[in-house]
Amino acid sequence: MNSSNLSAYEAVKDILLDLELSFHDAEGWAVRLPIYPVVGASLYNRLKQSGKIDVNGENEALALEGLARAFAEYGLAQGVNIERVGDIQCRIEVEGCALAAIDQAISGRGIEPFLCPLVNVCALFLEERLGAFVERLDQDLQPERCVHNVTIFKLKPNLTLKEVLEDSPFEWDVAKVVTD
Amino acid sequence: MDEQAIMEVIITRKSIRKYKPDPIPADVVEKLIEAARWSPSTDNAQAWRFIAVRDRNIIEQLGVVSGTGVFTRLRIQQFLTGQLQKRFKDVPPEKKAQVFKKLTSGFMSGYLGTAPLVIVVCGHKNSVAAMVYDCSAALENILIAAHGLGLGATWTQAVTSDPRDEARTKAVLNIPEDWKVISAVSIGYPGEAPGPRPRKPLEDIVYYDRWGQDKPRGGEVVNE
Repeated sequence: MNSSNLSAYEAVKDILLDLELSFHDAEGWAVRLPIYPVVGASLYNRLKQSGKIDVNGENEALALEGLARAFAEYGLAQGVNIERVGDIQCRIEVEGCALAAIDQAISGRGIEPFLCPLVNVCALFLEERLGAFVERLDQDLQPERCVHNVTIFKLKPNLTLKEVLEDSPFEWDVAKVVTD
Repeated sequence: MDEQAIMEVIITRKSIRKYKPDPIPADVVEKLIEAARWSPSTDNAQAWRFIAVRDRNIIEQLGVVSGTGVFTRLRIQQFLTGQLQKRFKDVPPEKKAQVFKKLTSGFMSGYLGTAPLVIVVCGHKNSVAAMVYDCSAALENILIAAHGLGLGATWTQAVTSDPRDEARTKAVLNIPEDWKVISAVSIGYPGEAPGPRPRKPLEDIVYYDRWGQDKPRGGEVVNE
């Protein structure tokens, strides 16, 4: 990377940081809700159109590997590992993230980071592939490496009210929610 | 102006989520919208629209969006991370089971679909005014007016908190792209009479003159 590229990169990071801070200023941490399915959606579509990922491919593990590889090829991270953990969780490990400095700057201001476009892209992939919902569970952020866990579950958003009420999983059962 | 009556309606208002099936008369619906219409708005822009939904089929569709949307996702996330358990750790076991059942039912805010009336409040995206604040003032006026008219109501963002849920709401109601769904209020004659929800004492939430400064002991605050 030459000095002019480095300068542009730093400038873009500064702009993204300001954007994130302004989001947070406008809505607080709840900003996570409206931006989660949006920030990363264009990248996700680009990856699909470029053939870097195959959402409907037969082998899910291979598709996730392809997604992780694409992140690295785009220079978003030095290494990414995405793996399903059982039926209802997915673990996303990112090393050398290009956006880590932004998260650290936000954390340094006492704000819990609320945005990771890479996790959002993974979520969009899983949601489309599995016809499920994905929600972030927890995250472990370190300077050189972070780990995100998300949960996957299915609901029935297109049923009528009567069907939902009668078929609601009233006794809490993770497996039922996931497989319902 | 009857100060006591005004404070009474503000203080006794509660969120009501169970409704009698009786329809709301048209003139009462108009009174609710009239209360919203007189809300303050930035630059008096009034960049809002109110959709009074009375059609049972449409209300049920909104109930499905509300019930299966973002809050259900959040509750499941909170359950799996132990946040819910922590929040309810001091609740008696039988009550806890009841609450867990509701919060994880997969139908968290579905009560909206059982109301005889739903008012959906929309703000124009190109408004230079602060549409969320303006619409929120209108929403509060609707809640207060509803209570004053003997109705029960609950304000919910569940139809719009997640852009995907908002898209479903907009599709159900045929709302154009340049309008944003801010929130919805479910309204009906009360089918429940919940007790008052706790409020933090004034001294915990008020400062005088500067952040962190309590009211002077033994006297009124006086502007010098």
